[in-house]
Amino acid sequence: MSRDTGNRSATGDIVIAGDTADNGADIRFEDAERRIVCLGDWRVTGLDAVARRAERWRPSSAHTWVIDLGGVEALDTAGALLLRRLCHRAGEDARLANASEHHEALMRLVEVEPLQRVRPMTGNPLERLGRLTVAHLSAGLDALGFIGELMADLVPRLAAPHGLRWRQVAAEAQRAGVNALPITGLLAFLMGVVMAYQGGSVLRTYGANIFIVDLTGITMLREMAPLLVAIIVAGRSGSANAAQIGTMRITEEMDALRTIGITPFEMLVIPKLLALVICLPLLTVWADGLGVFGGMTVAAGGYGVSFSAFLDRLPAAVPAGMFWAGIVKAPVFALLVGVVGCFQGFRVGGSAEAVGRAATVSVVQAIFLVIVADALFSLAFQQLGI
Amino acid sequence: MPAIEIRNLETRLGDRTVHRGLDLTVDRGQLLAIAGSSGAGKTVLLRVMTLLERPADGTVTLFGRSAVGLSRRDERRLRRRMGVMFQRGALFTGLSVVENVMFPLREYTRLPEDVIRELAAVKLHLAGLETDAATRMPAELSGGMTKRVALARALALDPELLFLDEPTAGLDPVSASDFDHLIVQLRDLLGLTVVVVTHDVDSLWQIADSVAFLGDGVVLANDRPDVLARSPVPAVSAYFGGARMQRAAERTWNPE
Repeated sequence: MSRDTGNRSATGDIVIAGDTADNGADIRFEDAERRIVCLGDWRVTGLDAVARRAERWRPSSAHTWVIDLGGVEALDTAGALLLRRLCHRAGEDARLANASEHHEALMRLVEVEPLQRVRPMTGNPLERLGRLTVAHLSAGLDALGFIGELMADLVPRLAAPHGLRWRQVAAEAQRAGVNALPITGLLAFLMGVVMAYQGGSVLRTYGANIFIVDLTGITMLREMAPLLVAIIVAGRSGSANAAQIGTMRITEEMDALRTIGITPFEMLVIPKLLALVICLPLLTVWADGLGVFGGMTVAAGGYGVSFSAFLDRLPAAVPAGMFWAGIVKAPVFALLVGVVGCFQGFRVGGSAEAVGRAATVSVVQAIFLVIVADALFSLAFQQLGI
Repeated sequence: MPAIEIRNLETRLGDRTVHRGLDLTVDRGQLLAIAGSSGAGKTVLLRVMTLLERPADGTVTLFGRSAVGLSRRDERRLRRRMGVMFQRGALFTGLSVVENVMFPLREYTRLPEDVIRELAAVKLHLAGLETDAATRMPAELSGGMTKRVALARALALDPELLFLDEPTAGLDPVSASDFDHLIVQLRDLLGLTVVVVTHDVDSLWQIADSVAFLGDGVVLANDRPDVLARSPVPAVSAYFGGARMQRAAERTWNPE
């Protein structure tokens, strides 16, 4: 009966009446007498059929029509509106018969100039393409503006780090980093398991089981762990940042902060960014460890490579450079996820719908940018010979 | 037959008891104001009457006939007969002004689109809005306009019972008194029963047939405001004898 009753006990009853049901609305067109007889309950929820008939009706002759309201038992504004439309259609000299004072008052009430029907903006395809292009370009410019503003705010503060809001940073690090440990760990472990299984079955045919170490070690440390962590954090924290900042914009909390003399960057964006930049490399190390552990379990269980053999081989198979190549990507991914999330949050305007959209867009864009950045890193590392 | 009859109502929010044995009757065609200091449970009472909050105990009778355990169908049928205007408007932000008003009509009727649109225009007009506001989005409206759209939406289905939560809060004095007049006018024109929760002292004096004063979880007094000002209950006379109240009362008796 009631939606959000929570878990409160419900011994109280809500007592109501049914409808004061009487005769439904009806209408009769008596063409011979040029009379329209209206009968029954002319209230909003019973008018569907009558409305369809009345709206289809056209006067058959141009004589004076009479609309008889004698049989109308109840009338509301919807009924009055229908009658008025009927009057207009019947011609200028149509008149009402047997209308009570109440009926006439209601008819006067609904005498309103009709709304212009707004046509949805469609335009031709070229025009739409143009509008879309301009919208995207201006979004790009906005993003540049946001980054510029952020830098102008961030750089002087980094020069005096004691002035940063470390308490906020710690809280954000808890949310974005510590709370993400279980999910990133589990997924990294499973990735390691999957890789070792898939690779192991091929390697075994060559009797090269020990190379499972190289396979899982290198792919995990260099590519999978940083990427996996960045994508999970984009989904968890990037969207949360966008939604939080977007909601704060709608509820004017942003403006409240400004009036107190605190920039939203100082209070929200910079702590979030710092927390991500600190947490993502740490999460990557954690994912590295669990991913390799996953590979190790499979190697020991399915391919006869014992834990000790695996660990002996690991330093030779995976040079330290591989590890660092994975770790240096993490802060860059962190910046991408953080900036995109916050930027989308700041673009929110007006409605609750916009908040949801910002959260979605921030995740999609962040993941897209992370993968593009990863590709660029691969190119750069190859050129540098790492 | 009264429109609303509440007997021995008890409500709890978490472990806090809001109402303990509250009785209230609202007659048909009455314009009842619910007053009381902040936290007295005015809004919760409104939520009980609009079936948003379930009472822990007691009965709530709407339109006089008793029915225990409301089926979804009965509930829907009942909701059709009441309109609610929320304190902050609660307009659907994804829909334009006119679509907000058309929404209940579309849900409950299969009237032709033209008729629904025109009916929405009528309701917006009744609520005192210009036609050109109709296509705007809620985010583009001022506070006063938001309230008017919310009123138009509450009136969409020609409810017999209209609930208003702080209709004049946040409006400038001129808009607020316009709004008060509008409510009285609509009540007279459409034969509505109106329950209004308000802090606005001018509203209390000028539009209410009766004021139900809430305190200690019950209705401490329910009468005309000038009677309440002389009430023997200290909490009531303190509220109505306050300086702001007295000035509002003087304005009522000596209209400029």
